[in-house]
Amino acid sequence: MASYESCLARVLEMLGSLGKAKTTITEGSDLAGELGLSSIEVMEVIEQVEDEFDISFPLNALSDIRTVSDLARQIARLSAP
Amino acid sequence: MKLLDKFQAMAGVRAELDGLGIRPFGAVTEKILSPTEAIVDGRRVILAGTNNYLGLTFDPECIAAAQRALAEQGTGTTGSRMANGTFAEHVALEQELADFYGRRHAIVFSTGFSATMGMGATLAGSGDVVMLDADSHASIYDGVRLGGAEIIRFRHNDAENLERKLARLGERAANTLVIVEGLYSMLGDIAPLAEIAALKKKYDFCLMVDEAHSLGVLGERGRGLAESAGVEDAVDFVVGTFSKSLGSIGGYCVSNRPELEAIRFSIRSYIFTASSSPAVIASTRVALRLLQERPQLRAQLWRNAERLYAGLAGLGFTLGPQPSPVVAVRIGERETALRWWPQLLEQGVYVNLVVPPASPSAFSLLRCSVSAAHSEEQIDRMIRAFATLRAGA
Repeated sequence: MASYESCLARVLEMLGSLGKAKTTITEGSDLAGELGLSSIEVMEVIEQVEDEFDISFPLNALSDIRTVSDLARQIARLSAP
Repeated sequence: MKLLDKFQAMAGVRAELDGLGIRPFGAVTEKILSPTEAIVDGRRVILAGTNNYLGLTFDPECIAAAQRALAEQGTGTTGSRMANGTFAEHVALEQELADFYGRRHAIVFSTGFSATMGMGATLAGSGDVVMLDADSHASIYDGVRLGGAEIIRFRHNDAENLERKLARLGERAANTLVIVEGLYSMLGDIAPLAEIAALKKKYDFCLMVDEAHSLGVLGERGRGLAESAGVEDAVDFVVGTFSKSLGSIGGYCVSNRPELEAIRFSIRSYIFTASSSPAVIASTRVALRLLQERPQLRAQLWRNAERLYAGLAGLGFTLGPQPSPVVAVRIGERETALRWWPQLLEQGVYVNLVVPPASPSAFSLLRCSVSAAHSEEQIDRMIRAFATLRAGA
């Protein structure tokens, strides 16, 4: 099981590598608003997350994800045994 | 944010297109001349994005049957299939579809969208799982969301990724509805259905295939991908549409599962809408017969598809992974696609412009679809029009 902190660190790294953010990406950064991720880019991040954490990310959970923190929390939850 | 503020981004796109003086998403067909030609925005153009695969929209037999039905049965049924909207002809079409597919049960819907959406919404509910291909049509996404099942998408046409996700489900895999399309409408590529059918033996899921773009296009008898891949027995539910190869409007589901007759009375998009008008049903019935009587249409369609694919590939365009009646030119820069679409129209070729998020990824598409009714000369004119884009790039 991955901890919230480790998920957060990895998500920050992934989002940083996209090179979209004009300011520092933080836990509270809004994925669509501040980071400007399109729906396609969000799904690409999700696919990467699924491979790396060996989880399946239900689309139903997406509506609850607005910030970096929301995403990291969901990954930690899904990777719990 | 106020209720309507979310539409500002779309209003911005509209303003951008107005600024460029183009109307790719609302061009008006002022006069339709044939299955392959029309007057659009004042120009005579070749229709190169219609999904009219067999070119049956102007078939005299289809038109005569529709005219007869209109005169004899009126303009509409004005009622649901569950109330006063089931005419003998709706039932006859269901039987003919069942016979065509060699399956025991069939349901006719008023549109293809309501067929796929309705089946997706009804088959899998709370506590169930849906696994769908990432490039699934909007009607599939919308339907499964309505149903309330857990929705997991797998990478487009990636049976390995599907298996990884099925394996993670453990015992729940047997309580899963897997949905794929026969031929994908944007890139014209085909699902790895034989591999997916093999997974079914291992995981025992329920399989639904949307043959909207493959009816009349694939398979020895034109039944679609399941037939051409030789895995019809593995497919529990086939859904599709009349608005492509059959040249009318409507949708269907066929199945050997006896549950389909009970499911019929649970599908909200079947119950709470008026049934198809008699003229539509009449022309569809004739078109379904012609699809079976004229395999030469399918052969001509593929000759045209291969000619266009080879021509555009020869010009160096990046296309979908395989020749098919959908030939999509992939363009990295959205601005280039926006510039090229009106240039093609000016040269008398009307294709579909697809930009993100409607396209399957970050690239844009100039999507052509080929018809059996296109002449070789028309296909060559399309290729020549694309060549001028290359020359001016």
